Amino acid sequence: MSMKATFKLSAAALIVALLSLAFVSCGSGDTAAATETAAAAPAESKASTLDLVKQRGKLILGVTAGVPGYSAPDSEGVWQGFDVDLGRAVAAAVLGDADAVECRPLSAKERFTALQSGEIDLLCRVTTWTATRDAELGVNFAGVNYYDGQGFMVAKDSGIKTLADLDGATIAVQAGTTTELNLSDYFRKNGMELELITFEANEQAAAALEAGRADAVTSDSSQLYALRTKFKEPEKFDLIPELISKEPLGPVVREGDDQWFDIVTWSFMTMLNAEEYGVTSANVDEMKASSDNPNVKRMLGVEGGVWEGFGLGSDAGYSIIKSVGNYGESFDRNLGSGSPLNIARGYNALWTDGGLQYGMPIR
Amino acid sequence: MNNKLYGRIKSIRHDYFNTPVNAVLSLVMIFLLAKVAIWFVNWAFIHAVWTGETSEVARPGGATWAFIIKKFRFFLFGFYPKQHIWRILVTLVLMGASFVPYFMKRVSHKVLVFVAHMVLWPFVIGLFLAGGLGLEKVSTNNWGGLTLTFILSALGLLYSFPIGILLALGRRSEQRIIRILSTVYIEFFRGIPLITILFMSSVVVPFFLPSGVAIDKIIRVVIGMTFFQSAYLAEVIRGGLQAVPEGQYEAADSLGFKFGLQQYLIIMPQVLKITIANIGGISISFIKDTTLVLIIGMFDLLGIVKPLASDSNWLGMEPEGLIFAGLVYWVICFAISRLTYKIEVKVNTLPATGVKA
Repeated sequence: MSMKATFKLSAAALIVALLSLAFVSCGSGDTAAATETAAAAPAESKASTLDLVKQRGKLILGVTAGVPGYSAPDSEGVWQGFDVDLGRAVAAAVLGDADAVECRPLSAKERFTALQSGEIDLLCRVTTWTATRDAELGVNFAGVNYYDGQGFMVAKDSGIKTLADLDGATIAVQAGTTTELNLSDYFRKNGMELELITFEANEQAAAALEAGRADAVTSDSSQLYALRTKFKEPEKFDLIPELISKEPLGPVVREGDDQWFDIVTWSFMTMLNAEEYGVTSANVDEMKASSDNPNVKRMLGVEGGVWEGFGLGSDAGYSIIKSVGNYGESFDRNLGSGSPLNIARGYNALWTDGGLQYGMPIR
Repeated sequence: MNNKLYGRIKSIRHDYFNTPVNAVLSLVMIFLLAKVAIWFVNWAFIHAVWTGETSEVARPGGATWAFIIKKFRFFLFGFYPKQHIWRILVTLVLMGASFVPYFMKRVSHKVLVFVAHMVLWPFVIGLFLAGGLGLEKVSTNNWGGLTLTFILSALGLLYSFPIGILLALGRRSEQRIIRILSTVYIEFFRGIPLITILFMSSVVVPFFLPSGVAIDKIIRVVIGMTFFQSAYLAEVIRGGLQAVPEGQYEAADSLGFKFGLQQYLIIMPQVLKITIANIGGISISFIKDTTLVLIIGMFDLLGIVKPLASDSNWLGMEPEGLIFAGLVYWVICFAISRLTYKIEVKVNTLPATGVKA
């Protein structure tokens, strides 16, 4: 072969190589194509997310890159957690199969873009509901599945039971965070004495409490529970029930698709209502067959035709409870007493138990 | 023997204990090093735990290697479905086998082998890893661990070579427009951080793609990293080009070689020989740069430590995971470093032009 030919061949090969890259993109297939349709959706064709998910046969859920209890891969590499459960509930309602969920781990910076561009259908990624996000990002928050906030962890035998007991206490905190600001603001506002020790990382702040150098450590309460699991004697420490800041975490959807927004909202409401009425994944069949409670009957699709109004099958509510369970079950399994985190229900108890979780009536 | 030992002791005394201050400093250093070494051996071996199902088996002051053992599959293959892992192995074997022609004497134009790589690797990866032609599709979302590190590094390095060479030649071109374009490209991509390119490719690019066109995130990232790496390679190769004496060009001209052949047969072999150490160096840093994909939610060998250590059953295992990942990176980079050294030794003994006598 002549050298010149070799050269032309290399040039041609470069082009072919670029084309073959494009081939790989086709190779990754259906999801990619479907993703694209969705990307165009909010701006152009207004294709409904519901139709898209049904057509694709699975829900694409944006999750964290690993936060214990909320979303993390289990021993088989399958993503599990409190946030994942909400996505599974929506998939159960829409597709009748809670396993038809593909979790897409996202960094904090990517999460809203991934939602806006249609790469994901639903974002459940410990995301705080704030006015700015709602107003500026083209997204809607479809509820609050976890009321988080800045809390305080103390030793159980310290005698500190309420925020007022913290007057004059030595408190460990991560330096340079809003947590630190909140802390000094709160103490100044209430005219309390504060002895502050700051650390580079939350782990070090928690270690100061464990070693007895500090009376309390402060951070978002969900963080504190995770830190506690790493203690040598976690049972000796607990959180004060009160919080000093509001961090409502919830599922997020794209703006402009009200039907999808409703489906996500009511999938979550169903989990709350099911707990309130005592419907669990274990007794749902029995409840469906024999319950006299009209609320339960409507929720499980025995009467009322509620779910058809959302464009779903009549057994959507039943599917959610059967495959994912109610809110309390999901909480216990991932965050509460059934998990190493052992988080107290606190503000996330049902309204009937004095908490903030309130399922709107299904009727 | 005794003399040798005596000489050794003498030189140690001379180098480290020649003054009281130095002697004290040396002793302190020895003490500290020994302390760290003893602590590490205790932690990594003596108090270490090798078996177990949850982090409850962890012992204070000891590493929990059971975590690495339990999660080993994920470190290697990410969240790729278990029943399909053979496809990753086939891909790796095929890619490895494709290096064989480089060592065959009969293959005279190794460039063609390289060209074949550029064409075939994406096909092999696309077919076996992504799926198609009857193989079940596996979303690139599930690719991860060492496999992802390998794919990103291999494709990035593969494509940045030809582009880098063209850019280096372009920057020295006598045609103004080509020269300016090459210079702008090189300076642009050398001037922005790789993180910016990754963010652009993951966050911004999807908004600008025309409707009906979808490019997988992994491809966007490979393309972005290739742009970045080729700019650096171009500068290394340009350095090599400048080191080739003018006489080589003149000799080639006088023998009637046209530009292409002149580069292929005479200049480039010398350039690559001169720059081999540098190319090895930037290749190593490129492999380490691929870890940055963790900020765009891709789990390469380093990035996968976090999700694995977020498993409620294995909380607090980040140190073990990070140390393990670091060790693997060190092995890879050290191997490449040795390989470049071997090649350097080898090419120095060959005729400079690469033409067989």
